[in-house]
Amino acid sequence: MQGTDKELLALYGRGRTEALEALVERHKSALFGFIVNMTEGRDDADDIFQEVWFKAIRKLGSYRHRNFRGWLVRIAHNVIIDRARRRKPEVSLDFEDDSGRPVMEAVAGGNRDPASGMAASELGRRITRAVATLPEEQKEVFLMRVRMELPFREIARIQRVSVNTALARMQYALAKLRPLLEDEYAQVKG
Amino acid sequence: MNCDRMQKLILLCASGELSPARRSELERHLAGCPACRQYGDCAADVTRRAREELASPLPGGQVMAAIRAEARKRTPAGRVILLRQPVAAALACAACLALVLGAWLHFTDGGPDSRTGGTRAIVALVCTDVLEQQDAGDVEAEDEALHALARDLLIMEGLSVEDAADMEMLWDSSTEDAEPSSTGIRDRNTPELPAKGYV
Repeated sequence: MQGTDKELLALYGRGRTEALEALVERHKSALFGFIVNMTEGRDDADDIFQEVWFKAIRKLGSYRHRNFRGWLVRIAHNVIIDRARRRKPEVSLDFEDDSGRPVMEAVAGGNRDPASGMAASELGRRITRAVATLPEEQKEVFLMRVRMELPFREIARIQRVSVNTALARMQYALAKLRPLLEDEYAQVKG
Repeated sequence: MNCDRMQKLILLCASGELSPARRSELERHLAGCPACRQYGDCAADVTRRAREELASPLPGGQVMAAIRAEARKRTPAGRVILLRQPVAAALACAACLALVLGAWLHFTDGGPDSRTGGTRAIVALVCTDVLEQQDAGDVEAEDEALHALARDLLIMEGLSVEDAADMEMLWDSSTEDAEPSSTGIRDRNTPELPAKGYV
């Protein structure tokens, strides 16, 4: 089914359920990839993806957003945080563990990295591993920009920070990835 | 020159968020700053490489089937009714109470008293507010205005502010877990209300 997100939403609003299926198809690859990278391939990426769409479907009646994809990412961002909180209900995500690592990182991703195993190429696997080393908020900005192609204004709204902060996080992410990738390029080429 | 600021503008330019004036400013800077030009090239390269090389996994078939089933179950008509249920319950309670109290006043005092005009004025004012919120497309504000209408009606008819607040809590708690049935048929306790043009 063809049409913009807005047109498909309007069709679904008139009872055409296939319009919503088309929206799911349109965004599933980017959104699922974002979730997999954010959770570092955790086993429940499927569950999170489903929960995001269930919530979206239930909230469509009050949807007033300009950017549907941004709205989905906002829901995904909240679902990932909620799940992290449920896993560690006794601690605040603002705190760090004994090693100084934010609790959000520990509960959301851990050290496992099955996401890199999904990449088709060796370079893809190395990039995935490099992205996984980023602090959560920088990784999220990077993935929202690269995976979801969201504008910084939207990213800042989702993270509840200023555009300047979102840009700074992207700068840090790029600065950390660049030498890693240069090294990766050299290894792949060499 | 502030290269850090210019590098932020480079990122904004890549995401299509730069005004023409800022873009001109950036171009002027880049013309004379090799470091920022290199930064722009590297940022574009890392972004492009990541887009190309990051895996694109897909969700499982069962997940997709569950989402499709949910989309069919949550028909738009059912969803509209779900959104309106708390408001519908609130207005139904307020309307019933207003009718009962109005009838009681009519038969005990021999006719409508001066409060009737006040009620009409409040209803008119709140309805105006609700319609404005509806025009603005603000669903939450619209629902809040409808709740305020119901609360004011109850207070006008003699309930204390606390009692009216308790009533409101009851409406919310009785409807917050309400789910539309899988058949899309409205809950029998929900008053018959048109899904559109409710206010």
